[in-house]
Amino acid sequence: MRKGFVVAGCAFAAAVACALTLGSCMKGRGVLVPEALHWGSAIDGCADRGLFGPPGAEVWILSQTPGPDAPARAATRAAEADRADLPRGGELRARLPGAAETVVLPLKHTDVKGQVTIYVASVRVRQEYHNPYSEKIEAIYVFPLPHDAAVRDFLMKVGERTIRGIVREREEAQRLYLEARRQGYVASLLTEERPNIFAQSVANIEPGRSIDIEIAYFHTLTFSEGVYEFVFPMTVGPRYNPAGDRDGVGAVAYGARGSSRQRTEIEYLRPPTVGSHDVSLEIEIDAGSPIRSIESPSHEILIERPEEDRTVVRLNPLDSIPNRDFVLRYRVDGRDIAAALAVHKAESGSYFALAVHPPLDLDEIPAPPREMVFVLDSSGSMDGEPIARAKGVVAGCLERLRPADSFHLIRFASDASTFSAGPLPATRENVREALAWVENASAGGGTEMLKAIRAALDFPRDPRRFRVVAIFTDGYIGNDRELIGEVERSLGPARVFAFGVGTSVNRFLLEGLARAGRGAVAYAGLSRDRSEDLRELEAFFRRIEHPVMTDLRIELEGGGEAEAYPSRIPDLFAGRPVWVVGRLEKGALPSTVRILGRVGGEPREIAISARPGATFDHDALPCVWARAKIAELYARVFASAHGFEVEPEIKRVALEHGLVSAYTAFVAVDSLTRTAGDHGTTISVPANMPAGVRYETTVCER
Amino acid sequence: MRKMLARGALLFVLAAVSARETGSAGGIRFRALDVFVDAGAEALAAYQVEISAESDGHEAMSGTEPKIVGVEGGEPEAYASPPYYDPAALQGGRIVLAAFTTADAPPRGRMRVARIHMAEPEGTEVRCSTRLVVAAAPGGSRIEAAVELAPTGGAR
Repeated sequence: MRKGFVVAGCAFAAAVACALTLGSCMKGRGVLVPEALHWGSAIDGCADRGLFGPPGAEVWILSQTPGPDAPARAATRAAEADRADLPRGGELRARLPGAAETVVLPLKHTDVKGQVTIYVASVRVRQEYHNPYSEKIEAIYVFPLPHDAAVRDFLMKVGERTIRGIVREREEAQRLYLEARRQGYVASLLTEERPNIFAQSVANIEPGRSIDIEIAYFHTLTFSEGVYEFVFPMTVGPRYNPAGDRDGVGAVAYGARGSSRQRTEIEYLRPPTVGSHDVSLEIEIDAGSPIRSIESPSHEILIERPEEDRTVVRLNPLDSIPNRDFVLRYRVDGRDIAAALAVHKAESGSYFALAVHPPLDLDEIPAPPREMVFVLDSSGSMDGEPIARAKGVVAGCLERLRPADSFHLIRFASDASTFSAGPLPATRENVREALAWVENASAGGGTEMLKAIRAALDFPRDPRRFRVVAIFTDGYIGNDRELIGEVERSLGPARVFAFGVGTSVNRFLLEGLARAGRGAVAYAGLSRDRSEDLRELEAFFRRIEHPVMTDLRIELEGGGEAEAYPSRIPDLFAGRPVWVVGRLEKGALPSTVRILGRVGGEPREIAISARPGATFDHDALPCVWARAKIAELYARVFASAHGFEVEPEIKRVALEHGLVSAYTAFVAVDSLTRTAGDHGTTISVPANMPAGVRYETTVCER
Repeated sequence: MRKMLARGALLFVLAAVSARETGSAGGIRFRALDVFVDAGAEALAAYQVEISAESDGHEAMSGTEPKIVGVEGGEPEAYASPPYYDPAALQGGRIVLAAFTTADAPPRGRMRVARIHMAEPEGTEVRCSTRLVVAAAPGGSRIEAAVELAPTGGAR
């Protein structure tokens, strides 16, 4: 048994253990009962009756790790919930050096409360930190948020008092936090390590005390094929960092902090061990029109419908272990978004957010011949279920190729390899051989995706065909910014699509590749039902058939010039709208927004009314706009050796709107609570491995 | 007199606090200032105040000006939650705090509506000034009120 850690099991496992140990006792072998562990009355009962053998005997308990499926497991958990005396599955406990007792780690619980209005989400995340030790600690927690989250508010609750944090330039915030920490003040710091990875530090938590941190953000939901999708990420997938890269995200074993030498590091628990903290989640949806269906492919949920177009969704408490992203999908009446235009007037200007739908009568436009390039991630993190799903999707794409198409296959792990020297015609024989090559792919090694992207974009183009690059990956890589920059630089007339495979994929990378590649994203592997993957594949392939509308631009009737993002509007694909957010510096909102572009080479226009009644108001829009501008500026940083020149502008926008960014951070200091002594022991809150990802092939151990 | 104060008169509070009271080391000291609004007989349903701070001879030097590192709520239940601050104003070297209440009976008289936590250069005299931008009664009508800053009691 690893020193200081135990894995507690369920009642069934305990019964098995009792039987095994009873058997081993009968055979004359002893079992060790660790001191001061709360194992529940069932096991205490066994111990009291000497069923574990004499003191000093060693006990092994089998753990039961919840997975993404299993109503049967939910039923078991429901039965267990009535037995409060039983230990929870896989709970991690720790011991400070020299301490006698083991205790749960500092992060007790995360509570998520969200409010969705049409397609704008306002979310509050409360993290409850508690010091169970006999000395002061600093808690550090690296955690995910949606990659497009505009993190706008930060509260630190110390006892009965609540302090609102201030957003400052990152270096300054860090300096203030470290000085407050050194002087013994209770303080907290929130920094952005990636647009979808944040680090929370809480200093000088005294023994037995609790400090709550509340973070608030806004973002817009995705909408595709008539379905809205709300995602709350729960764990960060372990990243691969190319050799020599020190600005990556290190994935190390719990207790091996510092071993990756990366600037950002996440400690992972070896399954079946999971962290002691759990998540509660409640989302209230005001969809603007009746919700026809609602479901979560990732978790068990409880649904209430207080009104026809208002729904409250809660995470089932029995499915609360944060080891995979929470995904909620719902469909509303009508094919289009109820109100395509959101507006808001603020002191800093007038803002709008616009959903541009493809015209319905254009789905059947014939597609030009394509040069399809499939890029399959076969790195170690894809081992198991992820690569099986990815191979299935790639095979489905190959089978849908038309005789006029050509294809090229690239596989990458520690290096990149290709099926053929160059693209091949999509004949039956070529496709059959390609299917066999894909089927034989296995996962292992690093994630040198840059080589694969260069291989996909750099070879000479066939002028008779439209090149489409489809990348199938979990995105577990530390140099994600470099990859997005590479697509920005090398795209040319091609299009790049990203297909995320896994339960906690790197959406920042996938969405970034699609945005830089003027393509779209799809996700698979979240559902317990593989037929959902096939439906997602069908929709994905319809999109990559051809863009419905190209060369989009916006014109406003009334209201003046707008600063809109993305500044280069992506092509419009079947079933998937494009989102644009804009700001007008002076005065009035436009009366009409016109989207102009080309369909089949011919000019086309879509007009959206901005009359009251045709729009809805949301005060999140200034932050959503600022976040979109920052995302575009990030892309310039990634794409250019001179990208650092836009860093001051990112900082200015983030500070003006009070947002966390790569160059700004939240700091809060309670100058009335000064503790004695130095800042105490730093405790990192470990992360759970994402469900379906193998620890052995992705995490660096000492 | 109240009218003069309500029309945006500046109150200068000498805020030189000794190192003993706040504790300091390493060039930065931390302390708190309370923000009081006196609405007299009127019910205070909303307020907005502007606060700026400067220390002697250091404001021109990068990184050594006084900084606000936290904003806390006040004493009446109606203003217990931390007020919001204007991030754009903060870039101009001042902080604008605002809060409102929908309580049936907003508080009256003199009350502590907020507390600001400061990080200041050690060994400097820091001057804070405050201005009442607006105070309002239920219904939104403007009312006359006075605002002042005072150091909070020392760290525990």
